[in-house]
Amino acid sequence: MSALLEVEGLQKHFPVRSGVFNRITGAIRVVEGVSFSVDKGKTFALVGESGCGKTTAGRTILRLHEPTGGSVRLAGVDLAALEGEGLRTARRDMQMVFQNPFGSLNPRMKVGKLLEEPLVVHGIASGKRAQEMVDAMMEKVGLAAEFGRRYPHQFSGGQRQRIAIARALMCSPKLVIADEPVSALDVSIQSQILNLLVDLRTELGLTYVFISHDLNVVRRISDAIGVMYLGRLVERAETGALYERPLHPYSEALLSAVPSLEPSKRKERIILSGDVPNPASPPPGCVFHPRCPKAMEVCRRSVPPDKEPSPGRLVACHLY
Amino acid sequence: MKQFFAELLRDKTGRVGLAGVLAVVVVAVFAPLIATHDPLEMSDFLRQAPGAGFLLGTDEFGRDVFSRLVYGARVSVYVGLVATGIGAIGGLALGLAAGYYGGVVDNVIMRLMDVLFAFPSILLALAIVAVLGPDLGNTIIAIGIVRIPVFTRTVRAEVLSVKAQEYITSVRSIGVKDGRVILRHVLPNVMAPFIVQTTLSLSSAILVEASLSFLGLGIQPPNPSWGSMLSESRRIMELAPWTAIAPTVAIILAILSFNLLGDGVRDILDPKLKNVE
Repeated sequence: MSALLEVEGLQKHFPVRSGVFNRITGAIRVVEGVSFSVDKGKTFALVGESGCGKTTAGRTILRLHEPTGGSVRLAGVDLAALEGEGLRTARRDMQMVFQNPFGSLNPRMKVGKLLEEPLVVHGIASGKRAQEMVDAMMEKVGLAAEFGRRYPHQFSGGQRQRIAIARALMCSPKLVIADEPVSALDVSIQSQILNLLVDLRTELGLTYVFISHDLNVVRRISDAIGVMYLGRLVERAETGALYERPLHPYSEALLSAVPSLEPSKRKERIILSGDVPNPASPPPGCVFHPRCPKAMEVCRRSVPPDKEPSPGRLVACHLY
Repeated sequence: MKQFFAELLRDKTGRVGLAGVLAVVVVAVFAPLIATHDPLEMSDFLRQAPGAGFLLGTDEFGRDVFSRLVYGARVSVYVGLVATGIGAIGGLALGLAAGYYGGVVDNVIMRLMDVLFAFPSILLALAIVAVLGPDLGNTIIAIGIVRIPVFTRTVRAEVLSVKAQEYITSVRSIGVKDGRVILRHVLPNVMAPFIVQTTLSLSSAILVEASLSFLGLGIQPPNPSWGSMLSESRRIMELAPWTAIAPTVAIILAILSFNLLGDGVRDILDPKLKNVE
C-alpha cells in the first residue's frame, strides 16, 4: 500500500516584526519539522494541547499558510511547488473541515448554494446536474434535501457540521483534513458526527488527517497518531501501540489524563507542572525538559534525535 | 425586505425619517403638479410677503418662492442620490480592494484616501469645481469624489473583520478564485454598514450642494436650488426675510429626515454600531 500523503520536515515560522521599519526581528516557530505519512483509506491523528501547532500544521499542509520549509506530497505531487492555477486545481483533491461550524459557513448563502459552489468553481457540474449531486450528498450526510433552501443560522451545530462535511466532500477529494471537527459539539452529537466520518471514509475511500486534543475521540477514529508538543512531533505510533504503551513522557502524561472504565487499567495521573513555553523562545535542548518528570542532564543540553524503537514507531526522547 | 420595512416603521426615528424623505422625494418627482407658478417667471409683485397669491411670498425679481422651493427639491434629491452613488460605488470598490488584498494595494489606496480626507469637504469640492468649471454635472462629480474616502474606510474596516472569519478560509481551501471570493462571500457580509453609510451620506451630499450653490459654484441662475435661493436672498434679507427662511427650513428638514432615516436603518442593520459616533 502506498502513502497518499507524505509530509517531510514541515516547518512554519511566523515572522516577528518590530521597530520603525517593521523589520523582521525574529520568528515564532509554530511548526518545526513535522514528518509523517498516511496511507490511502487510513486516518492519521495529530494530537496535542492548545497552541502546540496542530491546526497550523494542518493548514500549512493544505497551503492555506505558505510553508517555511519541508515538503508535502499528495499522491506523489509536491504541493509546495504548485502555483496559481495548478494549486487551485489541486485543491479539488484536498479539503478541510473546520472546528467551528458556526464560523465556517457564509451566513448570507443558502445551504444549497454553499454545497454547489465547489462544483461550479472546479467546473465539475452546474445547473440541474449540480443540483442532483447536492441532493445526493445531503442525503449521504443525513440531511433532508429541502434543507438546501435554508440559511446556515437555521441549523443546529451538529447539522451545520454535517453541512460543512458535505461541502468538503462535494468535489470528491482524496484527502480530508478535519481540524477538531467535533470539539465544538455536544458529546451526544460528537458521536454521530464521528460515526458519519467513519462511514464516509469507508464508502468514499477517503483519507483523513484528524486534528484533535480529545484522546477518546482520536482512539475511535485513527489508525496512527502523532503527538505534537511545541510544534514538534515527539512521538508517532500506531493507535493501539500508543495507547498500550506510550514511550515519550509527554504522551504518557497525556494518556494518563484519559479516564478508563476498567479500574485495573487505571494508571496514576501524571500532572505536568508549568505551562507550554513561548514558541518564540523555546528552551534549549529538548523543548519538553522544563516540564518533564523524567528529565536528565542531557535533556537540557542537546536536542533528542528521532529514534525508531520498533518499526514504524518514532520517538524523540533521550530515554530511548 | 418586508421585515426590514416593518422594523423601520416600528422604530420612531426611522418612521419620522422615512416620512420626511418620502415627502421630499414626492415633491421633487411631482414638482410641476405641486408648484403654483412657473419658478422662473418674473411677476410684477416684487418682494411680496407670503399670502394668498404667493404662498411663501416672492423674491426680488417677483418669482414665487414656494414654486422655486419645490423645483429646488429636484436639484437636492438628484444631486444627493447621484453624488452619493458615485461616492458609494467608488468607495466600495476601493475599500474591497484595500481590505482584501492588504499590503501594498492597501497602503497606496489608504494613503490616497488620507490625502482626500485631510481637506475639509467643502474646500475640496470647491477646488474640484473650480478646476472642472461650475455646472450641475461637475458639482455632482465633485461631491461624489469628496464622499469616496468615507465609504472606503467603512468598507475596508468591515472587510478586514470579515476576512478573518473562518468561512473565508474555508472558501479559499475549496479553491475559489479571488474575484468570486470578494463578490460572493465578502461583499454580502459588508453590506449592512455600507447601506447605513449610504443613507447618512445623502444628507451631507445635499448640504455640500447647498453650500456650493450658495457660493455660486453649483447650479447656475436663474435655475433654483435651495443653496442658490439662500445666496440670492442675502441682499434683501431685511426687506423680505421669507426669501431666506423658506430655503433654510427646507434644508434643515430635508437633512434631518435623511439623518433620522439613516439612524433608523443603522439601528436595524447594524446593532453593534448603536450609540457610536
